[in-house]
Amino acid sequence: MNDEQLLQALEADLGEPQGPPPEILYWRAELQAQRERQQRVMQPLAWAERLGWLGIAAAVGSTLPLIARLVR
Amino acid sequence: MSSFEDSIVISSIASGEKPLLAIPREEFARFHEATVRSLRGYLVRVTGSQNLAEDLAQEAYLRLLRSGLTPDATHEHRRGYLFRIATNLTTDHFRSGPMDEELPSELPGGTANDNLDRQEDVQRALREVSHHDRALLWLAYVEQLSHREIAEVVSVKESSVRGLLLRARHRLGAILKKKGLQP
Repeated sequence: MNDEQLLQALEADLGEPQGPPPEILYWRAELQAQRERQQRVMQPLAWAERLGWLGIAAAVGSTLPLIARLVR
Repeated sequence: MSSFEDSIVISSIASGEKPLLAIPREEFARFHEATVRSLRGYLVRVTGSQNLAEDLAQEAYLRLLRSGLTPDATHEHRRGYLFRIATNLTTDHFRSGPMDEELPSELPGGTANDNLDRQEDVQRALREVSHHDRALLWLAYVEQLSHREIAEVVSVKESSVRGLLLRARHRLGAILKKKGLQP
């Protein structure tokens, strides 16, 4: 087997590309990247929201004994 | 995506954060045009499946676009990186697959006793060597990459490439010989 025969065998019967055009690939990659960037931006906001709710819960919890005493 | 979320994304882009993708749009179209045939051919030959090759090629382009390559990287650098991603994807595929080296029967073939020409003999023998060997042979003989470039694509030392290629050729010859064909 010489180099030429090997090259011909490697290149034979590969078929034609069927995949999407580059514009579609680019658009998909952009969409993925935007989603990821958005998640990175939104993550601290989600934590702030959770902390806010915890703060409200703590405030309500701490005033409960006072309310109970007033009711009595 | 809500308009608030949109505005966050737009403002983060406008504020000068790094570009979303590693290659500008127009350049990517040209790069794709210049590389898609050889990348797909490589993947068809290595995996033995045209459908799988299409899927892996798409994934390789997506990963290249989302990689940390700088937008001013050279065509050769991008090309080498693309083939490296594709090689890693095929390795992952074969690692996770139930039968490592059994190629699907999509490619033309036949029995060893068929009176086919030399090219088909070598083609059949190629299906029996490992996907690593097929990758090395493609990169060396079709892409005509240097040993340094091959080493980068398949993640081995440059000094090992010569020996790996010789052994791949030897294994191919041994398979032909075993089939009673001229190696």
